[in-house]
Amino acid sequence: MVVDDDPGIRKLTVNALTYCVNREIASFKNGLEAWHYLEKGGEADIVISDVDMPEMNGFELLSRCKAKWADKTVILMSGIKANREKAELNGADAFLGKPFAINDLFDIVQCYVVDEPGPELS
Amino acid sequence: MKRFGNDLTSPDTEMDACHIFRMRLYLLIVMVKARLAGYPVGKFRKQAVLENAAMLHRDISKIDIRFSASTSSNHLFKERVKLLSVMATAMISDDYPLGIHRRAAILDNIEIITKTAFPKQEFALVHEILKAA
Repeated sequence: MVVDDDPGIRKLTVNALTYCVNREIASFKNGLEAWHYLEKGGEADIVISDVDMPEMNGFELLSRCKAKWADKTVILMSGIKANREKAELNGADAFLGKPFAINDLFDIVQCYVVDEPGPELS
Repeated sequence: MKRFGNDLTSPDTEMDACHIFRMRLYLLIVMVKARLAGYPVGKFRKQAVLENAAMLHRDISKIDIRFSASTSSNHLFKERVKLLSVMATAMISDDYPLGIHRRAAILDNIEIITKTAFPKQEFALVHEILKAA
């Protein structure tokens, strides 16, 4: 699942990940929409979320996800250094620094889908 | 916690339209090279290629992007990107045959675009990711 309020980044990330895993990738423009989807049983073993978004930010989504599904992989992305430290303190599995490159998305797929084939992106 | 992407030491954290355009172009080149190398194309992978090609074709006319390594005119470069998006669409649609000459034309176009837009980058195809579709 990809969550970002910037449509350019969101669509590109979904496009690249869809290509890599050959599966449909759910996407949402804020944490609240993503949370509603997950609460209703929507599938997403890996959540890649921006930090600064309206309605519900990435930290709140991370905290809710980890409280309900401790095993769910949550990756936060931001261009702000302080958010990286906060992500680590709040239990994020990984952090994607912006601006990122296509190869960084490939690295994430390699790490969480190919090397650890348990969870799959959806 | 694992770390990916920018190390955040640079003050430039913008992912503006030009940055996204470059990423889409890089992705399309990987997609085309992977197809030429014979990697499988599943339903969603095919959809991703068609969507990326269409976005690039649409955005290239609107975007003001220049490359320092450009040896040809900006207009020619844009036409080459348009051509690549058409080539990718035709290749992935399976409706058109891919002969020796067509393959050579695609590779030639990719080489020129790469030299202009990504002069210092290598396009390594990630086998483990691409082999499964």
